[in-house]
Amino acid sequence: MTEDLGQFEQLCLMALMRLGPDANGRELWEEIEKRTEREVPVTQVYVTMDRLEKKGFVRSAMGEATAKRGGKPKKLFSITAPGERTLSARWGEMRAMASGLGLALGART
Amino acid sequence: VTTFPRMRAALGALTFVWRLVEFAVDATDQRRRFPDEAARITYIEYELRRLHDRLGASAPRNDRVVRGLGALLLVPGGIYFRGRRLARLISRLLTIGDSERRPKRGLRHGRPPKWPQFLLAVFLPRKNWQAEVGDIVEQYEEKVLPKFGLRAARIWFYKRCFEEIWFVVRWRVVRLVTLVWALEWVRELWTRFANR
Repeated sequence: MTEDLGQFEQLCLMALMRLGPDANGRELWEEIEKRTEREVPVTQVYVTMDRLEKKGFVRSAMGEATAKRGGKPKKLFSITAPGERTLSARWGEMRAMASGLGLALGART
Repeated sequence: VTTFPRMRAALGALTFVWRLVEFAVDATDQRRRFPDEAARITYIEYELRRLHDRLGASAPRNDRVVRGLGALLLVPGGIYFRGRRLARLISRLLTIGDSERRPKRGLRHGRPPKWPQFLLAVFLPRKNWQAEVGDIVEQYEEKVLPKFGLRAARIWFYKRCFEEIWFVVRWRVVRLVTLVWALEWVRELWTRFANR
């Protein structure tokens, strides 16, 4: 039994998989904004990552503080094995539901 | 302001004290954040240099009030930090009245404004506020400032900070408005039945 994932949670996990382990919040935020082409609040990314961490899909650690960041530390995220499994299960469901709808979905966009 | 030298001096002195308070608050935080002394000193040096640049930009020239306050507040600070390099920096800070760096007008330094950062610290969730503010500051320094210039970058920074705050408080605002509306409705019902 896999836990449910919201749409933004899926986006975050996918971005995390793209960036690899120890991706920081800013990289995640940029990746999501770049690929979805919409503005996303940083807070939304962090709130979602906290939720995913509570579910056990992501682990986090504090990085170093640099002068360029005004002395504020980075927060680094990595996806865990259950996170990858759940994302892949959700993605399988999406594909199964979308199969055969290519023309209809394409016509609407 | 330019026609009233005393008022200008007083404003300069106020700015100076405000910058020092900001720095003191930051420095207290640094001790907790950088337990390693060498790293902390490097960071404090960076902050002092920044402070020096800002003061050079904002203090009126040859202003005795500012110099006096500087001596009053920074010398104990220098003794407290006890580093030779820091003492040198502090002595440079005391010569701000003669600073040649003061531009004639316009925005004076490239650092992101402080007070929206303070608002973020107040409103963002306690757990991640430092990382979030750091991300926005880094984005500002690395991408926005070189690409759009100082004025547009500052506007971007303000906009971004208020968007973050709005994202956090919007449901609270909606709930508060609904609650007030509901209370008002109950009060109106009550007065209507009471008058019958």
